[in-house]
Amino acid sequence: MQFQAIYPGSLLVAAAILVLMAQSFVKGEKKLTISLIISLIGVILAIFFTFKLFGVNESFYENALRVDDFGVFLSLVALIGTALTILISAGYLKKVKSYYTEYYALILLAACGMVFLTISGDLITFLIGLEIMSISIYILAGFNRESKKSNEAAMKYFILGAFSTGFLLFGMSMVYGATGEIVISEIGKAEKSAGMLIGLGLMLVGFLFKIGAVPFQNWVPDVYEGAPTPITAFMAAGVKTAGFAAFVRIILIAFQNCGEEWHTILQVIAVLSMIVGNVVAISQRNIKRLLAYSSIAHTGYMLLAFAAAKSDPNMASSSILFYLFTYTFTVIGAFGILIYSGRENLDDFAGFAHQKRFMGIAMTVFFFSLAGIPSTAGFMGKLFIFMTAIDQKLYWASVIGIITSMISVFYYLRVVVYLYMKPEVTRAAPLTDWNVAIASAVSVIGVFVLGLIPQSVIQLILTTYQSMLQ
Amino acid sequence: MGNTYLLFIPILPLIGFLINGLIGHKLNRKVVGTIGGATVLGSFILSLMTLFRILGDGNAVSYVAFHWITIADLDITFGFRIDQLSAVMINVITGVGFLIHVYSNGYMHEDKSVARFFAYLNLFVFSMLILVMADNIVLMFLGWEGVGLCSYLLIGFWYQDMFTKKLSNADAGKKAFIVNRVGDFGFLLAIFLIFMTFGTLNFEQLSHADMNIAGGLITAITLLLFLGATGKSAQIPLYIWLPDAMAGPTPVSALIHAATMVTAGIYMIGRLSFMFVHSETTMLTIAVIGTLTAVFSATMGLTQNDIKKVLAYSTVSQLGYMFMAMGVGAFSAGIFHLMTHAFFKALLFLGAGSVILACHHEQDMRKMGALKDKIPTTFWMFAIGSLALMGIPPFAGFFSKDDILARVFVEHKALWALGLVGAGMTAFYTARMVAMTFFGTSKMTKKQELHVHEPGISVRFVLIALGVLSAIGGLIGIPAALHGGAHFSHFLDPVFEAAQAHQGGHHHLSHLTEWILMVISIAVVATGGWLGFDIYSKEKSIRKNFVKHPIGGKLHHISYNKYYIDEIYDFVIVKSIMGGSKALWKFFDVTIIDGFVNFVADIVAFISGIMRKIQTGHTNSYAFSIFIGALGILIYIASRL
Repeated sequence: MQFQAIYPGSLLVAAAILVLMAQSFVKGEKKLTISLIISLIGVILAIFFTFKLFGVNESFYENALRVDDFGVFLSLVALIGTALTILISAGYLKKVKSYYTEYYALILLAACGMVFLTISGDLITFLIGLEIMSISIYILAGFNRESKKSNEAAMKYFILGAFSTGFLLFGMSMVYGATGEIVISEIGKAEKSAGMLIGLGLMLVGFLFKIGAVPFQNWVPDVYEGAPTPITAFMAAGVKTAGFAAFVRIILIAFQNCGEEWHTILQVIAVLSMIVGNVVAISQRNIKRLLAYSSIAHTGYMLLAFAAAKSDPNMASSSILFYLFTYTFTVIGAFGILIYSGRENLDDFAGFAHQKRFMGIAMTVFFFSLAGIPSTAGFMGKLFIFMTAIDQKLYWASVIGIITSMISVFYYLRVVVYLYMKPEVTRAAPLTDWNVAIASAVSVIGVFVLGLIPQSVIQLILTTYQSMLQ
Repeated sequence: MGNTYLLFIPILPLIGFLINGLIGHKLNRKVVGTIGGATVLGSFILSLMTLFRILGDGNAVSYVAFHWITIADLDITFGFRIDQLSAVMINVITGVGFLIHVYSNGYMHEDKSVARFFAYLNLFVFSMLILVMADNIVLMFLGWEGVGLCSYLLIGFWYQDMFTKKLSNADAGKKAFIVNRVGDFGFLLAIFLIFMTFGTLNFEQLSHADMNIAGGLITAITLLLFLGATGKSAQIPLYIWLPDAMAGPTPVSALIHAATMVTAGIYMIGRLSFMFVHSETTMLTIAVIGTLTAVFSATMGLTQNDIKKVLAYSTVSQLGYMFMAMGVGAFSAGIFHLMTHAFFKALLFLGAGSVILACHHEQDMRKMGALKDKIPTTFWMFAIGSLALMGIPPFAGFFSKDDILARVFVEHKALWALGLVGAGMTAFYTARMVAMTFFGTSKMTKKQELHVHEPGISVRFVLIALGVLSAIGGLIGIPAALHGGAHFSHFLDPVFEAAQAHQGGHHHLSHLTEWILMVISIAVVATGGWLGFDIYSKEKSIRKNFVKHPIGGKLHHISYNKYYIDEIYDFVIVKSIMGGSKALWKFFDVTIIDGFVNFVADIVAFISGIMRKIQTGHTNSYAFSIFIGALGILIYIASRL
């Protein structure tokens, strides 16, 4: 059994090595196709073996890994995000005529880091998973070597990431000093102490940086804009999912006795993130930047539910999990259309829906979902979040959340207005790219399934909090 | 499972939407129009079947398609429940909706993007049906958002215009959008509070829930719901979007902004009447807001020169009467007026559409006149609609409006008096509109006059059908004082039973009082109507003198400019949010240094001085921000040690 726990991660590494080796044997465009196929097979196998881990709920390797439904579910979400990212990357690499297949290898390695993040049972595994993921992403962010912006993004992300990891490590050592434990579930049994609390504060800084919450968000717009678009999507979906997975687990289990403290801090951060993200997004005309601010706001919504976890951890973690799932489809879909169209500016999208009818519809669906229009996944996600928050009497934070999400509908719908209601700009319609089209179709289906018939997913999620405790 | 057919009532228009939306641009325009109309007709037939079933045995019909969300004891279904109230609504929506689809076939025959138009229209009908058929609030909210979205899309339908003459179409859509966000905020918050308080969102279960808990909470919930209703149903203070929404095509104005969508707020209060009656504060607020809106917007209708604007303010005003009825607990009277209003206001809008087409897209009544003999069918039908709106017996509006006023008289004499004044003004502006459009002397050039023509056969058919409904539609609600059976109100009784039981029954007026009230209101209406007609059908100098008179001129000016409400809102809300966003953006991206012209400049400039040093794009300043955040968290932690 304990080997099965590391099947998904190992498969991803194996696929990465295969991709790297393959480039010695094939040349040119074929190289891309081969790497794409290897990567997809690797991820799909990883998904398959992750799926088999449902219901295991055990710790392995001296508690280094904690395989429970919570981690397994988020592994799946991250891996689905990875698969979609690989598909839209294929379109991107073809468009920018880049033949460096290390790109795929790095994505697979990052995904391996994500898998270990989601099922980490102690702080060491957590840190290693985090670094495997982060370092791969730093390189990927700067992958577009010709572009100054891409280089700058990678550099900024790297320096600030290192800075924030410093806080994280310092916090971890404080916690170890206070409790003498590195196993997450054991730390949770310790009494509340000054060392624990300082450790909590420092670790929060590291986490909040990774998920891009205010005031640790400054890097988000610059890095999202500069990085290659598929990598931006990967950051918004995969990195955020894996980051939240470890964040929720460590806070809810290891710091369960410090509820009062993180409850207050998270509530404040949630409010700030929702306000800054949504208000600043209004003035953005570059859609990548707009989605960057939007991602800050979405982090804020999830933190709002997180703050409610003090009194109802089950519903809170369930709504975060559900939200991450919805957000993965929505945001990768949206970035996929940006790649497909080869455009980034709002004005360039004028009349796009008349040029490419189905892509226009898909983009409309994704932006509706981001806005939380009923019948899409985004609505269902927000419904859970706000229900949880209000049920736990976080009235003011929820009111601010609802007001800012009402404001957000304005800038999301403005994109749709440009798609349909502005005269076409005279630009050649983009060529059809099947990889991106498939990713978009899958995402559209995901958005509607989670919006209209979410019941089976909800059933799965509702027991995940319990699985962490077993 | 005999109720599966209920599913097809909303599904048929959805199918129409999908066909027209996806492949409509490749189809012949006739096919597009037929698909659009036929799907709604199908829904109408099914709706009629449902209505007769309920008329037969009086039992509500329900159908659960699937369980949408089930968490512990929360069970939100994708299910429909048709009781007497929703049966009335679905028949109005699909019936009037079908007629308007037929009309649109004739009206939009020159438009390039007719497939898009019918797709939106069908999507609207679908959403509206979901709204009224839903058996729980979440599903209702789905419809609620859907209709808002379609309204937004259809207001901006002629988007090309915004680059040519009418700069305002997209702006109008935007205004509708922003205002409805405010309303939706209230509605959403109310949903969450209802869930928190009662643990269910199903209407049926809610109606059995104990409403006597926490008095303040129930007031908060109902007031928030009412805020949602004011947004959608254009009441003070959120009415400003509706007159601007007239920028959309006329059939849209008729269907969405007169007959159906704007009544969603009334429907919602009716649906949750058992909850509203538990808060006296809310009920009084509704009655007062409704009355104020009814009178206030009637005064604005007095001076508008755009024929559609007159009708728009009239709609706001009539919706005010409906809220007035809901506020005093006369729920069935409110719904009755909702129905008759759907008939005659749709008729008036469509009639106005024919007039506008006849006059080559001219909407200014000062440039019309003497159209009576040139377009007789339109004229006669328009006249019937006008009489119904004014409340002249035996036309539809008379019975419903009188029903409301009589009930208001029992509860609040002052509101009744205001309502009566409003009725007088309604008669005045309606008569003025008819006089300016169809009587007097023609203000058109000879060349224009040659082109004035009756609309096509399909348009005339629709006008006549609605004319008949407006003429006799009120007869189903003749009050007992006139030896009628008040059938409509009895039909709705089961729906409002719970609410009325809580109110402890209402005082019945003696037949004599009812007679006296009726005579008074007819007298007021007749006077107002006669004045309006007399002044505007002839070139009377009294009108010019009024405008020239120092006080009269001012009053006219203020009314014509709609009390400058738009300007105030623009300054207070739109400018501050947009200004705030832009200012914040400047902190985060130091590319633009100009600006800061808005009124928050002084405060933001101070903060920006600090913020700009951090938000430069330089990595070290970002690190500094992280450091500050970390410091904040640690200081808080230190305070807890």
